[in-house]
Amino acid sequence: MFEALNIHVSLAGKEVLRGVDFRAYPGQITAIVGPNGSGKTTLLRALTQETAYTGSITLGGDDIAVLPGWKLAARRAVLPQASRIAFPFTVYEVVRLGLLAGAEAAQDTRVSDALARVGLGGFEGRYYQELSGGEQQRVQFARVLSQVWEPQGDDGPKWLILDEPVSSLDISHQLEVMNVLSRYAHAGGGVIAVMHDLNLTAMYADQIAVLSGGRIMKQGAPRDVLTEALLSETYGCTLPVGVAPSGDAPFILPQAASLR
Amino acid sequence: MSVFGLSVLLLLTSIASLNAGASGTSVWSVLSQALQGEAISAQDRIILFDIRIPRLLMGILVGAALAVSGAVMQGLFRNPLADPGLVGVGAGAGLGAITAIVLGGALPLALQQSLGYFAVPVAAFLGGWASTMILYRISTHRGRTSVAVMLLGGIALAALTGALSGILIYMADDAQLRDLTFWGLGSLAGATWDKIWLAGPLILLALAATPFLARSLNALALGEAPAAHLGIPVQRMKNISILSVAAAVGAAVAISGGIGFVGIVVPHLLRLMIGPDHRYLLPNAALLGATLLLAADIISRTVIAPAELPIGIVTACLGGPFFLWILLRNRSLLDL
Repeated sequence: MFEALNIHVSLAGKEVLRGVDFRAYPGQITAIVGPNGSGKTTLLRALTQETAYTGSITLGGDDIAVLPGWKLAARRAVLPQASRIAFPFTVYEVVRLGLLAGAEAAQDTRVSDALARVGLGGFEGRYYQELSGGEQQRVQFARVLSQVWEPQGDDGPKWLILDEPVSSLDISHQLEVMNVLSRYAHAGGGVIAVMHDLNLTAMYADQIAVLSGGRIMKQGAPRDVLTEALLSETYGCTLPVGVAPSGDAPFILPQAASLR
Repeated sequence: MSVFGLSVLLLLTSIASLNAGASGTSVWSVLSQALQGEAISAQDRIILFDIRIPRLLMGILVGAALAVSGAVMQGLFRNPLADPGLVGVGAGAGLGAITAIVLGGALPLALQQSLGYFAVPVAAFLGGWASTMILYRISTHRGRTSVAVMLLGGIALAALTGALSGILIYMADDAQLRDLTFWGLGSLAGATWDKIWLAGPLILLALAATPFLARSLNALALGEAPAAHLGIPVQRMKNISILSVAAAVGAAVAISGGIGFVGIVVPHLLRLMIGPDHRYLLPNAALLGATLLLAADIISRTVIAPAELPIGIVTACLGGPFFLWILLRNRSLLDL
């Protein structure tokens, strides 16, 4: 379990997270949603130690603040929101960086496997800088996948922590990436993702944490969390919630005239 | 181009360097004298062993130090235009040398005598080291080094050291001015075994540390946070990088003056030839840096023979336009 208890984060004197309790379980996709400025990315940065926090964050019972970096790197991989690379590295070289975290002895096929899994088979020799934004995002996703390739290891489940993993992808690639995450979770790994698209989140997430004003408004299963009352309060606009035609996932249909 | 190919190129350039010069002495003539059991003439021995071989070794050491330091700094700053000059090593070393040339006479006589002609190199090295340390302190806050603060701090520090150097130059007499000009232009002409013993160990130690940085520098291309997420001890590798660069460049500038652009040109050429992977970039940069500096030195010795052109002028003439070319090619990629 990835557990954060009573997390406070202040940036430039302003309290951005105000006592957040957050739990994510292996075998599930846990999504973090909320309006702009609600603290989603800050929470993710606390979970990945990119920002200073007070409170406790544990991974499988181990305090992440005292785990050595290389041990942590073998148990969780982090996908940043956008990534520029300084030098003309090839796609192969970028994905292979994921193997630095203890898996350098792994067969070279893992790079190709990871690329194939994100729909970029055959891109090995291309230059990263020359790809489109969406392709770059998928290359980074492949790198992160190669870092924690097996969803379960000797130290327990492995984790993917992702900041808006589908933000610059077209709809078919959004589904492709979400399917990869879903399979990873079902194989026993843990997935934590900051998401913007509520419908995609409703379709794929097992748990949703709704953040607003630096606090968790609610965390639970999609149908318990994605209610018209909670969403309207959180986002400040009326968001009617129905049921998706294909199943029992909630479905949110924004309305042009729904601003209060 | 491989490590083997570049090694052969360096060997050939080294032989050419030993043969180049105003006198007729060459490796071949000395070798044939030795093989025929003849005594090597005193003139040949002095030219080869006291002038050309020290000069060759100094060229190799300085060229390798500047090129590898350039590659390390560019990896650290994630910017193909970063150069050791940017972190203030060059400006600080310059101030140290100028101080020694202009104010050296004011030191107690005993100290003057014991330092001898080491005074300028020692002062240059101390200046480079001190300015790097000051800049590093400025830009490191709570254990994190900010690249932006470091770049801007480098500009401020260069302005300050430049002003202090200007005051000293204003105070200098004619003989000192001539020394200053030649030191500032950069040259391998003053190569001696003493200087090699002074700078060589420091440069070799710094170069020996860089292979351990290669994988970390590759990861750092993704950014500091992603590198840390891959388990790279980012802060430690930054410290080692900065210390290595300060040592290598400080020592190189101390014995050879201001030789510019090797640190920019060599890594850039290599990235075009073999790609940006630092595991291959760093050793190849040492070889190509040494080769190019020896080639520039041969040009500087022969183009207006029997007089010599300071090598800094040669590298600047070749490197300046090259730098602009890189700048124009990368204009869209640089978000500075």
